[in-house]
Amino acid sequence: MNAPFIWIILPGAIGVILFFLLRFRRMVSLAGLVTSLLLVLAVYVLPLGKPIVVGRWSIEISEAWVILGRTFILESHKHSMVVLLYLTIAFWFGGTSIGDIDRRIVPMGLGIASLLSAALFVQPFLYAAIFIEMAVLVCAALLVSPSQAVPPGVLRFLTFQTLGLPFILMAGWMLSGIEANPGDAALVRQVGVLVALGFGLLMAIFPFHSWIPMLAEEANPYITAFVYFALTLAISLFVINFLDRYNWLYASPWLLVFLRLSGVLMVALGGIAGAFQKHLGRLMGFSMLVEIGNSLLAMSLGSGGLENRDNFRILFASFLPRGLSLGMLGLALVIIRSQAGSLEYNRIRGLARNYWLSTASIFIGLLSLAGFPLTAGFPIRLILWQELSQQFPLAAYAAIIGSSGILIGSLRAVGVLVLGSDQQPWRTLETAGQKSLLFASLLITIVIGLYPQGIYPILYRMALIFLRLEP
Amino acid sequence: MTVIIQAIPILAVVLVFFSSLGLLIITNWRWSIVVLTFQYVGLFVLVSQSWPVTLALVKLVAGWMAGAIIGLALSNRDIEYQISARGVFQSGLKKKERFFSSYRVFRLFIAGMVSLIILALAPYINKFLPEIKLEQSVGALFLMGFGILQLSLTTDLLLVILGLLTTLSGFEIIYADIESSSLVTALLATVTLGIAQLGAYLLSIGHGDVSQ
Repeated sequence: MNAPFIWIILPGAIGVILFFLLRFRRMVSLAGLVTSLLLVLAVYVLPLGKPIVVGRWSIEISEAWVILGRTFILESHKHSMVVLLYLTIAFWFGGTSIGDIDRRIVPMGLGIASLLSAALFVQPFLYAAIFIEMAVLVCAALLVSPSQAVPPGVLRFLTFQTLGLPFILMAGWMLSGIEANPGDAALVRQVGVLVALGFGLLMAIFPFHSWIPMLAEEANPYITAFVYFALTLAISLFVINFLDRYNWLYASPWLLVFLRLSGVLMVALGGIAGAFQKHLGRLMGFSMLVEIGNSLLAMSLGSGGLENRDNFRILFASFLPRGLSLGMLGLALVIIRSQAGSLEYNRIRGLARNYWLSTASIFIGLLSLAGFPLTAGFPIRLILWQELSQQFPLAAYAAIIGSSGILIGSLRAVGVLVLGSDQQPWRTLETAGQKSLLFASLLITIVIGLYPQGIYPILYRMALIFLRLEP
Repeated sequence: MTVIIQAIPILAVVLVFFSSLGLLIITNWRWSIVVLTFQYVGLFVLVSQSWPVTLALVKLVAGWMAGAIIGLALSNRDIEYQISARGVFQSGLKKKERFFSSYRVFRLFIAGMVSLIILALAPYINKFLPEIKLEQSVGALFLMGFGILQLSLTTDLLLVILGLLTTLSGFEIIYADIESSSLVTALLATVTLGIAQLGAYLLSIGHGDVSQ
């Protein structure tokens, strides 16, 4: 027995089995939820590399598994990311049985988690790009429900993500060549272009960002939110592994310029476009662009020299509030969409009077993504703005503009949702399950916003362990 | 005999050129699948210049299986699938088109321009990859160039899938020169099959239409 078998093969196999049991909706959701939580628990309970003695039996779970000459290994510093990945999956599975959500999310979600775990474990790490591509293929299938026409956004998503793979693999190989011959400036420039194109395509950086709002407009918002979160998490970890492998890149001024400029562009673009949206799904998409921009700016704080590497904790700490906000937003959007048939503003007018809890969840979810005070996203956004204002004020202004744009967009959305006659009473027509999940998410979002000292130190520690800056 | 063996990679480049060009201009899905199988023969020959034939065969088998998966999905559809003159999918299109329709002439013209760029660029690939043969770099660039051209000219589902397979094929020739790991070979074959499987799924649901 070994760790990669437990966190890669097992969830994948369970996902395949659950795929054939899809007609038992509640059972599948529950099985997915329990599997994910057990895999989280297993990280803490199972002693890797040490014998487990049960009576006369003794089993040792090794950290590594060699397949076709390459190693899959779960090193101790990656434990926190496995926990985060499977907790995310569990969180999303929790909402599958209570809304108009494609039930395939459970088996396919387990498949995606399995592939992303493989991306985290594989050595050499560069092969992670291939596992991420496989996860993208599963995501694309998940985004198109069997009863609908193929949304163009899915094709664009598939195309851009697939085109990123060759650039990343080639860039990785050429970077190894630069290590042997660091003085070749022309080669460094050419590799820089490859790296920029590869990560630009994978991370949906301008001008390869168009699929993000398109997906949010066309596909199921809950599944879209899941894809946004899972892929950005995996790709961010891949970028950090990439920088760790070629750690001389940390000192590269070109990397700093690329991260800062693309970050500024993304937050400004997402915020300005978000303020003028007339579709709730697209507003979520543009909020995600702002999130990607903020991630790039957080990465820029971690680059510029190895001594800045601990600043990556800002990036890590943003994953939890982002996941929470996206999950809550996705669920609330699904509820509104199932009533209105669409998320266009002219169709959702006045729905808040019957679904005020969903409306509140949309509002708070967007505020948290915008980094508004008293929400989960605020503490980490404040730190990001403070750090940026000291090092690169333009980026701090752009980030604030981006957040303001999302804030304006969310106010406009809520304005449309609460329109209606004063005679109409305020009600909550969501089901009991929907109410409890939305209420719990709202409560957690606000509690984290009010008492950040309760959770953020834990997230920082997880980040520092992953970065191998703490044992 | 030696002359024939030496000519095989050149023939493979010709095969790769005409098959990838064919995928750009053919509007009948059956012919597209046939041409795709020839494209993978060319890929196999070019990859076998760097790898043992047994390992290179993986590419051929994966490519042919990909073609079979897409072909099966399309043959099971209850309506005829034909790509319209605008390069956008239409079901039940029965009208016979002229061979030199504006759709094809435009694509041939663009493909000609891309070919010129590729022929100019190919010798420079050796600067980065000293081990790669000129035939391999020309073949890979044709596949990648025409694949990306295909992706940029269409929103048709089948053509997008074929474009992705073509682009990845080109990359695989170059990557074969620098990486011969069995795991990577298996993973890239899985990606090829995965793209085909996804394409087959998307083509088989919702009548395969891409919403406009």
